[in-house]
Amino acid sequence: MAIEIEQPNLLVVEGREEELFFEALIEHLGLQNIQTMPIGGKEQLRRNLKALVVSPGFSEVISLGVVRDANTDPGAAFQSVHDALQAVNLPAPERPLAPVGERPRVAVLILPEVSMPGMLEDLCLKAVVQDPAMLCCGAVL
Amino acid sequence: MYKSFEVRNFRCFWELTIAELERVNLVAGVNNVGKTALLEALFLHCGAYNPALALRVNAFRGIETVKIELGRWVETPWDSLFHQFDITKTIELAGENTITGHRSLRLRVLREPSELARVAQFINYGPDEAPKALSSDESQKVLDTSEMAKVLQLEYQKNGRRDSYYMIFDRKGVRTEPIPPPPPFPAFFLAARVRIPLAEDAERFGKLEIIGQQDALLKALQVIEPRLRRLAVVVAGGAPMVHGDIGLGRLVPLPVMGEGMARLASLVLTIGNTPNGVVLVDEIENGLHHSILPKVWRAIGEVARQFNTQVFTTTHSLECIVAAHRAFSESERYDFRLHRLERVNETIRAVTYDQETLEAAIETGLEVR
Repeated sequence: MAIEIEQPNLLVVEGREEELFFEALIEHLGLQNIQTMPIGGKEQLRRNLKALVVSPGFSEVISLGVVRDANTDPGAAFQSVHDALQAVNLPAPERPLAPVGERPRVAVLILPEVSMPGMLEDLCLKAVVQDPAMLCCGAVL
Repeated sequence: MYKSFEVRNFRCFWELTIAELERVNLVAGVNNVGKTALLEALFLHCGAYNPALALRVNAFRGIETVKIELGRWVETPWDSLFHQFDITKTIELAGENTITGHRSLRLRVLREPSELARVAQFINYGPDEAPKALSSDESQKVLDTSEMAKVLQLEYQKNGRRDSYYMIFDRKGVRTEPIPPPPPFPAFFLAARVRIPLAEDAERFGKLEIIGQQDALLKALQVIEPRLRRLAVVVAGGAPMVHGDIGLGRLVPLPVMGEGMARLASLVLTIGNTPNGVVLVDEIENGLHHSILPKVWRAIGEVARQFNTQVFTTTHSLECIVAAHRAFSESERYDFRLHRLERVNETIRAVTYDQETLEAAIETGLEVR
């Protein structure tokens, strides 16, 4: 089954795990009309965004978010997203979480934080660091 | 070979530009978005000087009968060619072609008295209908002339030169005046609802034999039937038909080998009989199982290159699109483009996928139809 654009707000994430995480988050927050799209793999982001912007229904998209792991260098991660957006003639924000443009309005989110190396999993771990179960997890890990 | 094509006021198109045309072009899109209409527009443009092709494209859609009613304000068969049936507008078709350069066609219904007067020499009037000194009242003149004939003008423009040809309906029927010259290159339209007669395939095979190119078909069919050794035209029951030798000790009619073989043969024979021309195929996947589509595309690509033929086809099938992309990715050259027609704010636009973008869309599973 092909992925169709069905919502006016798109969230481009790296892969299936990020898709599941953000879908759960969106549901938890009770947000509507947002569709996650697992097409943001860092090696192919520019190429995949190029395919996204010519997809049926993209002209109806109001806002677009791109989520990316910082990995070892948050600055480089943001820059690569910025360059990919620019390459496909989409509005390219100058910094994370600073949306720009109209139809679509575009924002970039670098995880776990703007200036911290790491990834989505680090953010998840940070969120439960006080949980008693973490003692067991820590022992196992 | 067309490099770009523009359409205005034709069928469902108010305005459409399609660029980055390649050797083989596949047009996708939802229903009623103009895939067949685009092929029809190209067919008219290929015909160059012949307004009668306007009726031919209607026949491709199954509208074959024409009722001529003169003396009343009724629709003509060409009304449906005009965007929103508005015959006050002019259809414009323009293309950039490597053989003919930039050419444009304008199709319009003649309604003004001065315009109709220019074609009066071609119109057959009834006994008491020849234009006399009617009256000085222009409206009276329009009415009288329009009741006697309906005229579609095709104006052809190239390099600043203009010529006009007219399709005329009058009491003697329908005809084109003056007689148009042959088109600058051949073009064939394979309609979705029409199957090429077996005798016609046989004739086209014979034409390839005359020029020693019959092996093009053999090679193409061997892609899906490796046992095939030889092809021959056999007249059976008075009708010629292409037969093949697959080692059964006798020749077998192509349709008996399977619908896919017959369909691929028709496609290859049409392309091979259109050297330096254009072949337009509506719903190319008809009669072809998805498993052989990559082989069919490979064969189409090879034959189109061999005969320098440009191919435009339509499809609804994602499997067909993926098969084409894979086949051309593996061929000597990626001379293929996918164009999707889509409706945006009441207009229709063409979105073209290059190799990289189509690869990305297929890999990520993004919709392309």
